[in-house]
Amino acid sequence: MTSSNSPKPEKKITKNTEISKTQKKKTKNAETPKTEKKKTKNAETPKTEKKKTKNAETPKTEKKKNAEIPKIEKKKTKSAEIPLTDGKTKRDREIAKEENKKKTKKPKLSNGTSKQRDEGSKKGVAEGKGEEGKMNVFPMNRIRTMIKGEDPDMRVSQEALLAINNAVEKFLEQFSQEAYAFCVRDRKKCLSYDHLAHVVSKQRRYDFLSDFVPERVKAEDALRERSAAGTGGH
Amino acid sequence: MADSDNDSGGAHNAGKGSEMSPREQDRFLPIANVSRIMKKALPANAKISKDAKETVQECVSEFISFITGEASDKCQREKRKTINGDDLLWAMTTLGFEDYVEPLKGYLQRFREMEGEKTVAARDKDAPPPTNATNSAYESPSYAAAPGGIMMHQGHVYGSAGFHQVAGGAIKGGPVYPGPGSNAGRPR
Repeated sequence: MTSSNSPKPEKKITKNTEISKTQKKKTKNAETPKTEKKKTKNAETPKTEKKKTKNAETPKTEKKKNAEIPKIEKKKTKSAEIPLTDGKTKRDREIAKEENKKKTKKPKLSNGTSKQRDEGSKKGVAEGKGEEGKMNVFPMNRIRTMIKGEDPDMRVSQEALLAINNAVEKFLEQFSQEAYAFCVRDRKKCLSYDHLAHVVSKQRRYDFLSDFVPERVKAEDALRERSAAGTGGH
Repeated sequence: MADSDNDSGGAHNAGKGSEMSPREQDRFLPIANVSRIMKKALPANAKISKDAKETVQECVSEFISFITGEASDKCQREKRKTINGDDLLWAMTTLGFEDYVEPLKGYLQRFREMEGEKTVAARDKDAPPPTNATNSAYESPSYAAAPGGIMMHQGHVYGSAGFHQVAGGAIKGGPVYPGPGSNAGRPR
């Protein structure tokens, strides 16, 4: 009971700070934050609903089933992902908004606006412009959540999220291509776990994955190793 | 409310409890995005098994933790509280992914240029932003501690069956990714 009531005053405090900031700002700037507040108010209600339903196991499966149907109808997988991120990363969004306000004080207006745009319409921005499409392949809030899990006290700038986004894309391309090379060598059509495990075991840069993708030793591989050792030894 | 196994007490227990279950899905990037990039990197006739997609999904999460952990350590040594792009580039160089650094520098440079254009376009009626925004990004000033620091524990337990089922359903449905129209004209 007491624990459930505690997060509310924090939100009130943040709202009060928002009001004071808007008063300090110019009249022209004051219009935009008002719309932001309205958006936040509208967003709060479904979040609380999601919280309640998430506590029980059965509604989760129902949600998943419900999520599949609109996917088939609309044929948009991203449309289903957006509400999930809305529900899950409330605090991240709050932190992002506060960062935006702080950045408006300091000369980082561009980062603030870019965050709002990214959160508002990832699809439109990503698919509208070719370059940005390359730069925003993964949902930014998801990456931010993963990074927050690493070190909760550390802040992450917008360009850091962008750097991670692109690095992950390069990692995926390179890792897939190297695994596919082994797939071709094995004369198989389907890329499978064994090819990935082989890449991890062969290249030193992927040592950090060795605990997660151990290689399964087959009899054929063992025999090859023996024959190789045999030729080397003798 | 669900019980929370976090160490920190007080105000954040309720929020953390409700966020425990979705955390499993949040530990991975969406498998549809992962498989799309994998297919883009491979020949058209290449096929990828489901367990390979899931394995790569986990590898990507581990890659992010690997790079970010190194960058975070560097920021802590330098008494900074914000990870920026250069910290991540440095971390990649240190951890054996130096060939990623040059292309990423190009991306970051383009990002900063476009940010300038966006800001000018978005705030024509307001005061124009100063040109030293990029410079201040390099300085990466430290901010006051953000309220609501969320303790989210990344356990080494993988494999959410429900999530994978949903992802499988998405793939079977033949996803199409049309985007909405241009939002450049939206008022802020």
